Amino acid sequence: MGAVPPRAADFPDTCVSDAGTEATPAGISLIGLLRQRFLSDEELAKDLQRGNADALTVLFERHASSLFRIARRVLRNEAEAEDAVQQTFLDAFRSIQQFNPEKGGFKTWLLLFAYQRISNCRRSLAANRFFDTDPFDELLPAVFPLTERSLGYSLPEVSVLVEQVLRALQPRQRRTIELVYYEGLTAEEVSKRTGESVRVVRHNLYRGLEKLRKAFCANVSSAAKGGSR
Amino acid sequence: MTSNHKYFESLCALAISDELTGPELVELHAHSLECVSCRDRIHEMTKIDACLLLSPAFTRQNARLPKGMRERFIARAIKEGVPLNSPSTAGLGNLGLASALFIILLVTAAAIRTGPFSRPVVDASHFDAAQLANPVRVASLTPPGSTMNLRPGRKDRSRDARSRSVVFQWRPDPSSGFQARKSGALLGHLEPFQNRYFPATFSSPHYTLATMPSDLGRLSAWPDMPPRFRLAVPQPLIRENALLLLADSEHGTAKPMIIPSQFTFATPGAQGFHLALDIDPYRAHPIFEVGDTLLKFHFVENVTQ
Repeated sequence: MGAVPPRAADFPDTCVSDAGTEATPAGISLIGLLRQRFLSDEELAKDLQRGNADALTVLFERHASSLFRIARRVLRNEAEAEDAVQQTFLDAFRSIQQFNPEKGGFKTWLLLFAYQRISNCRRSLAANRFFDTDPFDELLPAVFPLTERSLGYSLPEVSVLVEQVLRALQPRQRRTIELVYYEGLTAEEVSKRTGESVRVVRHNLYRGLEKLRKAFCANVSSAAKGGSR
Repeated sequence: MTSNHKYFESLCALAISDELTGPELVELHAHSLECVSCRDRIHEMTKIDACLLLSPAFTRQNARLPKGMRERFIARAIKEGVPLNSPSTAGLGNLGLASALFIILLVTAAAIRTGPFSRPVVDASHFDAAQLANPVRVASLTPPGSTMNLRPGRKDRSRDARSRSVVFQWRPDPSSGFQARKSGALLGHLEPFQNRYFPATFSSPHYTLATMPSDLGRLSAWPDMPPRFRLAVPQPLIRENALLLLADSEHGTAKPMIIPSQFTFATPGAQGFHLALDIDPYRAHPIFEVGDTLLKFHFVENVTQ
């Protein structure tokens, strides 16, 4: 686990909100609660960094559903997904000092942070069935920690590129990727829905992902050669 | 590489999307321990997996949380030592906050209707294409070298309830060669951008992303953009039918998700090449227009939402 953020008591002068509502050990006022609802994610993260842990609840309310969707898709199990999302927020709280608003928005940081933990959870769940330890741990050290820099793109760019490449795929490849990634179906479930064999579904998935890989890697390497990023 | 290696490449892709059987996973693991190429492939595929799952196309669709998940989270957080000051906030919940908000809104609305803040009612039905084509206010031009300027801010707009658009104009520096090309390929390239809506996503500290309608084709076919604009849209940021404009909040990059009423829209490479825009803090659509010597960007409030 990461370091526990400093407590509010460590910063007696900095825990007074902009609106002048002070967080007290006995609880925070209604105005304080309302104020939190109107703060940006980054301001709430700053509050967390100062030790005002209540901001975590607001951030959870704002982003838990996005994270839960990712976790449910990745883990394919609601209970595991809930556990992973809760753990992600607790880990994010403990690692909040790593968040640097100069490098990007809080949501981006949280999504990347969550993806990393949820992926770890998936791999360890899968590995427990076949291995004593996670077989990919030793294969994936360079990928993590996952950041926009290691991805090679900002998330808005990712959105555009994914959309473009998906449009360029053959319809059956695109459909397979959308069913697997956006609807969370397994290859078997896709097979039942489309009438294709599981082997064909897996092949379409591989071909589609391979084209995505080529597009992303080509763009990253050309940008790197241009030296403009 | 053999067809056998192709087989392992396909396993790399399927492993990331969790579609491998147990024996396949074991097989891939054993192979990848000795095969650098497959290890690299797994790295790359992991990034693709992340890109697919983190793309807004996926994350913008929120899932319904299991009932009581928020309360369970708060209980777990407290149990694990997170110093939540007010577990009672769980009890207050959204209903209490909504009630408080409702009361505040009622009081505010009453003050606005009867108090010094009262103003003419905006008739959204007047917001039409003709109005877009003839924006109410146009900024006075800055000298060519500084290229952009701004129109008056929110206070001025409040005097005229029909001022629905915010316009800034760009007069390219004549020395950049824009004049020589304006009647040629440049106008041809920019013509499709006249009076079109471009949904913009202000979701990054560094980029304003304007997704272009697909029928406009590839932006990379803009070889004749004037130099300053080309600086604003460097090639690596052009992804076929999307235009990424470098933007920066005047408040710094710390608040990228918030569009303040005074939003600095800056392009790199030109000192002072930024302007404050009085744009709607929640919804805005940039519109590109081309005149004889002007390239206009309209940020128009989306009054329909």
